[in-house]
Amino acid sequence: MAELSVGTLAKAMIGAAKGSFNRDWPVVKEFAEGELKKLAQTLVQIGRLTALGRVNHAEASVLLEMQKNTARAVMLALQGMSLLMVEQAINAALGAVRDLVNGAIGFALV
Amino acid sequence: MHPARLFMPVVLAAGLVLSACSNIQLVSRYDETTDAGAAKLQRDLSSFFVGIDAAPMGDEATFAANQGFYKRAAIDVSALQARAAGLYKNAITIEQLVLVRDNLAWLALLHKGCVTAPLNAEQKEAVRQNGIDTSLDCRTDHGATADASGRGDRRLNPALLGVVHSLLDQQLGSVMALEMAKKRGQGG
Repeated sequence: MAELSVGTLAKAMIGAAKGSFNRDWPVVKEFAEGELKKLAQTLVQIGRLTALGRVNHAEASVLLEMQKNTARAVMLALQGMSLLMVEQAINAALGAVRDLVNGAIGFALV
Repeated sequence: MHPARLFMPVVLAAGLVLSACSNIQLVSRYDETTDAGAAKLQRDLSSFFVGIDAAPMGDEATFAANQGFYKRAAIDVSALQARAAGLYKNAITIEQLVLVRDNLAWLALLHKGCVTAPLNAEQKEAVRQNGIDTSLDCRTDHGATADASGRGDRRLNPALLGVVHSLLDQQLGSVMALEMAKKRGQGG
């Protein structure tokens, strides 16, 4: 059986995440890369423990489910960080027109 | 031209002006209780794993000896979920906490040796629906492969400790990382 490598898995996962996050990637890159490497490490550990017979198939199946849940929690954090950047950008744009709008309508509405 | 078409640009312009009249919120504000609660759960889990790792085959490593930890963890995560549900635009954190609860439920099932075959969709759904089973039994309505009683003397397979600890640690870390990002984003 081919040995899983952390580097290969991490590279594939980072590549896929980069594609999904597209333009938002620079915002989440630092956190994402570190977390995806950790996920790759645990995936390799699960594979190794299973191959060595130190965990049975039932236990491996639970570990993979837990791994998926952890990956989802990480992806949700990345999604939240990306949304926060969008929120900041929109509010900065609104802030830029605040004086104009308030001035035009004659009172501090914004 | 139809009168409605004449007014359309005015309506659009008014909409744009009104939308500029308040800040947009896409994600909930930073919540210190969530942040501190996730950190506490992470510490409790570390203490649990360190305790088991010290003597994985000892009396203190049985499920029964750690039932109190599971009960406290179930209460703590439930309290965090209730808190998160009350905050505006907090769907992401709410889902993260559901995933934490699911993983704690799998940990309890592993500890009691309640999963004896690869998981199926019904078991995953049972965990999602009913959460952590802190009883001393295996129950299919909580994700076990089969019903069985008196599992308090069971211990975690020592080979699982490192991986499971890493996964839960990372999961809770992602909850706290998002809270920190909210704090930074809101200038807190």
